[in-house]
Amino acid sequence: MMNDLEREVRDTLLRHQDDAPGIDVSDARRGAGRARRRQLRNVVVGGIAGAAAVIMAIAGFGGLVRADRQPALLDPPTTPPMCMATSGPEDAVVRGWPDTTKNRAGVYSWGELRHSDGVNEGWMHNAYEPGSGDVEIIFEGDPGRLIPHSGQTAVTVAGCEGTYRSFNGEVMGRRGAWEQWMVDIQGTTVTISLTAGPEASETEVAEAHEIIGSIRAQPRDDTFGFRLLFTLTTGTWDSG
Amino acid sequence: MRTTVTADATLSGLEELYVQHAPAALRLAYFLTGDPEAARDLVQDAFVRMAGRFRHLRQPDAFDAYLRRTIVNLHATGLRRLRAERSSLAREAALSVPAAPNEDDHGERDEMWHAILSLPPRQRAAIVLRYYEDLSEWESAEVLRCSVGALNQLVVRAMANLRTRIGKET
Repeated sequence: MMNDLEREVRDTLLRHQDDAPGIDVSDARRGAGRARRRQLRNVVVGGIAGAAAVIMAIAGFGGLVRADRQPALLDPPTTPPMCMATSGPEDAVVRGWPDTTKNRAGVYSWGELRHSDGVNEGWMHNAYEPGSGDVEIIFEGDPGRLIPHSGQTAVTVAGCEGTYRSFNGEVMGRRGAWEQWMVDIQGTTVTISLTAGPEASETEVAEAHEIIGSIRAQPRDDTFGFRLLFTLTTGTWDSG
Repeated sequence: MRTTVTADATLSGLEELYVQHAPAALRLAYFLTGDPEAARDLVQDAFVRMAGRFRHLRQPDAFDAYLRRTIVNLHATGLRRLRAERSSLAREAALSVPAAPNEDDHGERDEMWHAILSLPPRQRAAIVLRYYEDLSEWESAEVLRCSVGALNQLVVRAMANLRTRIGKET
């Protein structure tokens, strides 16, 4: 049963729903065109078998890879042995995913399938000062093994071998940088995405890399069989 | 294997999905942004993001749920906030012009509309999902990628803010 205020909120929204823009076919075509350009861009960055070297030369992919990662190209796609979570107990208190308020520095966790569609996602950004709010990190988990693409960079995430790719370009309509790590942990494909808009400083991006670098996988008796722990070194992050 | 979708058949499928789902998506986006053009941009960006995951949806029938979640979370990102603030300033400048008198007194009810638009993004999203989209607590929490408890906190804070702004009790 709604109270008067709730009813007023609903009635106000209903009254204004016709103010929303209408749809026209050009919107659909424009969106599909943008999707196609984005997909082509992803193909260039990710590389495809047999054309990876040529595509990387064209896209300058080598210049996008961080020098300290000592990149090594992968062999043609094969499924490696399953990597298991091995991180032991933590000394510090482990909190869940950062909430929508200002979260203090400390150890946080992600894991345990909570969403009905089989995809677990965690999103956070550095909204509290001195953060710009222009750096976001997304954790995603898809049940199923990861088969690495050739042409991506081999990296280690949470003690498991994974892949890395990045590009500098347009991120949601604004210039920025996009990086992605994908790793198979106990049969779950974990994807960590980092986006940094033009307002983001090098210090903020470095902090985001530290967070990702701190990820470790701890065995758990739940849907995924593990959870990821990571350390926030500042109190600038929130999930809303 | 995560593959990149490039087939023309998929693009036309995306166009079809856009035509089918955009009206509801545009309404949601409009309530979140308060600006028709920002709403169009938000919905387009959401579809572009969805295109890359179209083939990997665990429940293709739940496309609207995925889309709703994408729209809400894209809106909440800091990367979009600056653009929305610019639109808001322009909108507030336009709103400062007194409206013409109307036989029906909408002044008090429009006060609620402006109050809703002034809420922080996730609080606004929470009440739109609960009171307009009529989603359950659990469904709304799924969209906002938070716990039911966190969702309820967002709603409580939103209603408290609205109550303060329009000067009402309960």
